[in-house]
Amino acid sequence: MEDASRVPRRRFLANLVLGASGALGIGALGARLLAFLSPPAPPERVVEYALGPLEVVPDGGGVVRDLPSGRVAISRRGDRVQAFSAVCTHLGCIIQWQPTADHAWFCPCHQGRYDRDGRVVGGPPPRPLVPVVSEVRDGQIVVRMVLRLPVDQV
Amino acid sequence: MSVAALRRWIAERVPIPIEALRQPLREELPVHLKSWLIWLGGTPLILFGIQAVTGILLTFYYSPNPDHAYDSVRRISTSLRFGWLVRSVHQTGAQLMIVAIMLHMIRVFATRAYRRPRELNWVFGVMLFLLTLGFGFTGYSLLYDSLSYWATTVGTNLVGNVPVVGRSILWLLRGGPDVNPNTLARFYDFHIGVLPTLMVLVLGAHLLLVRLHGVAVPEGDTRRQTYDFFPDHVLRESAIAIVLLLALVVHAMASPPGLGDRANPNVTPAHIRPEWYFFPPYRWLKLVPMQVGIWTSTAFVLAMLFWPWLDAGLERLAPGRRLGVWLGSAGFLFTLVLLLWEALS
Repeated sequence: MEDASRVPRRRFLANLVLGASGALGIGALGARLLAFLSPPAPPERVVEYALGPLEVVPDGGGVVRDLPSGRVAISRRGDRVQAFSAVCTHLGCIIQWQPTADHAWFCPCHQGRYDRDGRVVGGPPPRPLVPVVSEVRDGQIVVRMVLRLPVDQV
Repeated sequence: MSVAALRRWIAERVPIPIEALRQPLREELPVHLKSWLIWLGGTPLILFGIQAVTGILLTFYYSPNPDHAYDSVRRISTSLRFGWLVRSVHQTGAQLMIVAIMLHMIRVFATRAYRRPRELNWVFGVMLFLLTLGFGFTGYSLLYDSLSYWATTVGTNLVGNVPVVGRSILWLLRGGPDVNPNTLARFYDFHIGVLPTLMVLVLGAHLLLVRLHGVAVPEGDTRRQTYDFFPDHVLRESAIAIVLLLALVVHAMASPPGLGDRANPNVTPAHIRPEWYFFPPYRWLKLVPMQVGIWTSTAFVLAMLFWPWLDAGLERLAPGRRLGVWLGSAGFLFTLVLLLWEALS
C-alpha cells in the first residue's frame, strides 16, 4: 500500500527546482543589493606635499598637519624629520604632540602613547604608527602620501 | 444614518471579526504584576512610542548632510518653536529607554523568568536591548558635533577590527574607507529606517510570546489571584506614561539639551567619551589589547544572548549550586564597576 504522506516524485522534483531557482534568484538579487551598498573604492595616487621650511616644525618638537591625503604627524630633530600618519592605530583618533619622559605622541581617545619613532610605549594601540615617506629637500620638508578621491565623487 | 446602520455599513465593507480583536484585551494577569518592580516591562514600550513621535518630528528639520547636520541641530535647539523641548525629550527619552530595558532585564534575570519555555523571549529581549544601543549610537552620531564625530570614528573602527568580516562591515557602515558624507546618510538611514523596522518586528515577536506564554510567575509565588489587562493594567501603564512624559518635560525645561563644538575631523578633542551606556566597553578597551577586548566583548554579548541555555547547562553541571546566579551577578557587577570607573575618572 502506498504511503499517503509521501510526496510523489514528480511534485518533489518540481518543488525542488522551484525552491532552488527561487533561492538562487533571491540570493543573486541580495548580493547585488549588498554590492549597491558598497561604493566603489576611490582611485589612489601618490602625491608629494611641500610643507614649508624646516622651521614650520620647532626643533625638538612635533606638529600635526592636515593635508588632502589625511593628517600627518611630523617631528624634527635638527635637520632630521620623521613623519607618520597621525591616525592612531588603535581606533582611528588623531594623535597629538605631547612630549614627556616616556612618550612623544599621545592619543586622547584611549590614552595610546608612542615614542618619536612611532613605536607603541603605552596604552592599547596594537601597532606602531604608519610611517610616511619624508625628506628635507632644499630646506623644505617634503612628504609623500597616497591621495584618494572623496568617496562621493567616484 | 443611525449608529447601528453605520456599524452595519462598516461591518459589511470591512468584515473584521471584532470579537477576535477584543480577545487580547481580555487577558487575565497574575497579581504579582501589580508590583512596582515587575511592571518595568511596559516602560520601554512607552518610551519607544515617545521616541517614535519625537523622532518623526525631528526629521522635519534635521539635515543628514555633513555640511548642514550640525547647523540643523542647532536650529532645532535654538530657533524653532519648542525645538528644544522635542530634542530634549528625544535625547533624554533615549537614555531613559536604555535604563528601563536594563532594569527590566535585571528583573527578568533576578526572577529567572527566562527559563524554559521562555528562552526565546529572553533572546528577543536581548536583541531589543542591542537594537536600542544601536539607536543610541546612530542617534548620537547625527549631532555631528566634535564628540559625536569621534564617537562615530572610534565605534566604526572598532567594528573594522572584528576578524574576517570586520573590514566588509566597516565599508558597509561607512559607505567608504573613512568617515565621509555617505556615513552620515547611512547612520540616518539606520536610525530612522532600518533599526525601527527591526525594532517593530522583534518587539512584535517579544510581545506575542509574552501573550502566548502568559506572564511568568516568580519562583515561590503561590498566589493565584489575577486582574484584568483591560482596563486595570492599561490604566496603570497609562499612568506610568503620563509620569514619564511629565518627567521628560520638566527635565527639558530645567536642562535644555546642549551641543558641543562643530565636528573637526583634524582634531580629536582632549576628553573624548561615548555616551554613558558605552562606558563599560570603552573602559575595557583602555585596559586590554584590542583583539582581547573585541573577543571578550563578543563573548559577553553571546553569553547574554544565550543565557537561558548557559544557565540551564550550569544547573545540570552542579545542581542546586546556583552557579548561573553567581556567574550572571559577577558579570553584571563587573559591567557596573567598569561603568562607574569610567564615569568617575
